[in-house]
Amino acid sequence: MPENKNEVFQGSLEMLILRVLQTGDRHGYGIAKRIEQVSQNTFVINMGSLYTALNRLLSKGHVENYWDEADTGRRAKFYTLTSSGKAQVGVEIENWNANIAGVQRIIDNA
Amino acid sequence: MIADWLRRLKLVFKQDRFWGDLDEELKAHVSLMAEDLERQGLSPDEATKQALRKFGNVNHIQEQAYDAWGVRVVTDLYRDIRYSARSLWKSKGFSFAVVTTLALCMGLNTSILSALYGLILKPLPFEEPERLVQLFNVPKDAKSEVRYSSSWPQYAELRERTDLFEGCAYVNAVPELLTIDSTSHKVLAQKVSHEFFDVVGVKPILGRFFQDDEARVGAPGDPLVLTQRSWEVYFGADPNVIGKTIPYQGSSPFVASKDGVYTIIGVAPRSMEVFNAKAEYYSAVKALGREQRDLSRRYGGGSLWIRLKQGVSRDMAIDQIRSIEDRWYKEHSNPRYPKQVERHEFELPHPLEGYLFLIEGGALFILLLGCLNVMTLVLSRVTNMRHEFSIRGALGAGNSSLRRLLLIENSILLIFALAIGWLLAGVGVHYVNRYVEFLSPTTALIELDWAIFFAALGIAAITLFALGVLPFELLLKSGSSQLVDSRHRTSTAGFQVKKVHQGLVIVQVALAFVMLVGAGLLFQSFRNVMDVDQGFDAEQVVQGKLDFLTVESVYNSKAERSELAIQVFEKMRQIPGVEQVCRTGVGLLTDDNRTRPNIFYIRGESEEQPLLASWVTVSAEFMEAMGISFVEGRDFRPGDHEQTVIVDELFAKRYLKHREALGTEMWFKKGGPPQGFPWYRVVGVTSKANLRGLEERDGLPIVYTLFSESSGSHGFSFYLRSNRPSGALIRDMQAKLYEIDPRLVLGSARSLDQSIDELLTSRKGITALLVAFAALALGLSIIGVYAVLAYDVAQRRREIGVRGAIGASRMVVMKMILQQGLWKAAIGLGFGVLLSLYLTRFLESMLFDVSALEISVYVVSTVVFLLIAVAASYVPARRAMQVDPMEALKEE
Repeated sequence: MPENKNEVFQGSLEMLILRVLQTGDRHGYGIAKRIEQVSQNTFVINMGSLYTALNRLLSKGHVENYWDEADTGRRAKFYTLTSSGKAQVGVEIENWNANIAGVQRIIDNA
Repeated sequence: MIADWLRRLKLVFKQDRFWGDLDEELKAHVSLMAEDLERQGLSPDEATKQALRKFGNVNHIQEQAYDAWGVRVVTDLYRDIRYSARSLWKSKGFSFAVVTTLALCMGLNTSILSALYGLILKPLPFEEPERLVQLFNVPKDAKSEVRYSSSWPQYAELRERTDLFEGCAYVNAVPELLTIDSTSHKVLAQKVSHEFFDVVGVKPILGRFFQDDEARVGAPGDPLVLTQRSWEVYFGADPNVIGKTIPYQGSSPFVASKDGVYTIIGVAPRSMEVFNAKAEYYSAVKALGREQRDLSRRYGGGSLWIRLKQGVSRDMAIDQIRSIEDRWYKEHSNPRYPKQVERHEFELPHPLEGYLFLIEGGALFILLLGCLNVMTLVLSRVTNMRHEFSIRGALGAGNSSLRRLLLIENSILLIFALAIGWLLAGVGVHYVNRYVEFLSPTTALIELDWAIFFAALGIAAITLFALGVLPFELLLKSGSSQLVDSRHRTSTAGFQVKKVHQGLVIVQVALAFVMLVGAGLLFQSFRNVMDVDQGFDAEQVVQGKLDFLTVESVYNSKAERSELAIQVFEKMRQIPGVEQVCRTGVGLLTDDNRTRPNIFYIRGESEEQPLLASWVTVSAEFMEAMGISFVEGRDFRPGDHEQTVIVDELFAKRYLKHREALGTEMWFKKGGPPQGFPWYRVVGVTSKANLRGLEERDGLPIVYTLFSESSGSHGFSFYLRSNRPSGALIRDMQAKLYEIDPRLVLGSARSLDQSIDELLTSRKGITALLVAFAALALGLSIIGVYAVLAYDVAQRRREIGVRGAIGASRMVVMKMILQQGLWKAAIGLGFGVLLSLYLTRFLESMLFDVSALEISVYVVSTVVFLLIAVAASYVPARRAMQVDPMEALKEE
């Protein structure tokens, strides 16, 4: 595995999951795969972190889950955004952007 | 926020589903990953392997996912609670014993302490209650608990002359007749001097209180202050009640006019109920007539409430009162009314005080026993759980989690004990109140005291936790190797525990024995009281009484009242089935006048020491109707006058031993009768009739005289002998009274047998309670002895097995265990006897014809105890007997 593969930044995984689910319901493996694909394998998702994040979102009520059939016909648990989850995506992305801008300013000007 | 918690709560209660789902979800994840890898060209085997590797530690991920919910503390607790509940359920005997013991102790002590506090210890609910005192006059001659109350002349005198009081007030509870809805009602009024509310220090909740000039003699108007209770009950807490009027029939000697109208001026707060919970209102005393006479200084019947000045001690105040009183008697020396008061006091023992302290003593014994019992039980359990702990410890449970389990177990026990204890305390207070109503009717009912209940709970909690956790800590300290090494379950290991255990059982047995002896003595006293010959024939006698207040308000002159008494007497005779009728001046078998003995002086003998006796005026038929027999002399007969006297045997024995009883002459004042009057002359001596109840057998002798129409005693108490049932008879009595005058009311109508029963109520109550306590104590000590022996047998299985293997027969084994049980009981009994010899002296005042050292009670108690020790040891002994040597040895 290439050396430069990083774990997702602490705290950003929940935002990424919400963003991915904006495009449609997915199961846990699907979410991980999608993040890896879209980031062009910049990130490796640790499964412990993934399920921690998913359960935290469940406990906050931002996502719900249900059993359904995956493409291959296997039963899997799908995650979907709730209305509070849908609202949360925007908030999280805004926060993220603000943070990145701050970090960038430090890199540029420190 | 709430939704967040609800989601978490759902997880807590649906844990099984959560874990199952998560497991399946993660498996699906791995499979999906493997299928992808397979599509990339890996063999199925290889794909699965790689997917699993890539996925990571499934258990670890599951735990992390679960932690994300942030409920682990709760779910762990939930799990532990379920575990502890199951384990307690498995040892039902232990749980039941601990819970009942604690609940009983808590309930018992809470209810009795609530009563003690509510009746006796609670300070008056007013500002600076320590400065508020009531004055009592202690007479020279009477028994120690007798107190005279105060009087109007004394009040007037003290108010005038003392400089140590901030204020003093007079109050007297008297029945009055009010006219409500045009019928008259007899209600209890508190007649007070105008300062009363100021002295007490309360503010009206409505309107105002009395003013200085309203309570003066001759003041116009009749102001009335309602109690909060009557304001709520009769006026529906009407805020516009001020100014309303209530007509009254003036019969009491304390109101100025004959009839009149009260005007409501205010409402007093509920806190005033401590003075008299049954009073309906307060009105101003307008002292007139009887109240103001110097004679009533002795028999005032009212109370004097005093607020001492800041910094004035009670002793200082008493000293001053004494000197003021002494001076008064010097100035007003009157040979007819010698000073009877010996000293003054601010304390009055409550009628229930002795009982309640005794009962609480018993309850504390039970508490002590209960704590010991819980100690024994918990100690056994913890030691028995060592094996389980060692396994759990080996499986990775830390000491802290074991400690937590113990805490949770004890909490569960405590919660159950709390619930049941609360219930029992409620029941206890209910029963105490039934006695309070009977024995002290003007006292407000007792309420369950929360503070006391929680104090009891605190004791229970400390007992449980200290005892539940301490032994565990000791075990830990003695090295965890002991925890793990189960071979230490043999007899040598628990040596410390065993010693403590034995000590506990010995103390328990000793305490229970004391209770048993106490109950035995009281029970024997009760039987003795029941065996007392009452000296008259109460069977088939029904008593009735005309209410004096009604009579006084309706029949104005003495002559009319005399006429009425005779008329009633004649009418009662006409009732079918009535064999005999008689009348007396005072009610029999009641507390009437018990505290005021009459004085007699015998002609020709020293007048130094007056003779005390109760004076009963009767009609001529009395002796015959009551079945009282004669020792010598004769009964009253026609032509006898008021000075014809019959005394009872006790009088003759006590005062006339040295002389011929018949013909003795006496008088009720020093110096004999006035010129021209005959002396009282004894014509007969009757057997002792216990007219004041069985327990008064050794009390006052009785002097009987005939009614005197001139002295104003009319005999409104009458007694009918008939073999008809008392209910029907009472209905006929009412009908006859109605024929005479519809306004007459028949009071306290019941059979004499019933009255005798009622007089025994308090003795019955306390005997029943102590017997119940003793039974409880016995039960607790049975559990104690059993628990220790059972534990011991379990510990010594190996030893017993070895003994069996080397040839000890089962009988020998059984004898060994039984002997052990009996030894412990015997040592406990030894201590118990010593303790009883000391403690039973506190019972002495309640014993009747029984010595506190009554040998038979001790013997019976000992035998009962030994039998119980055998019974408690039998089960463990049998279990030891059934130990199979081979099995026991194999186990190790």
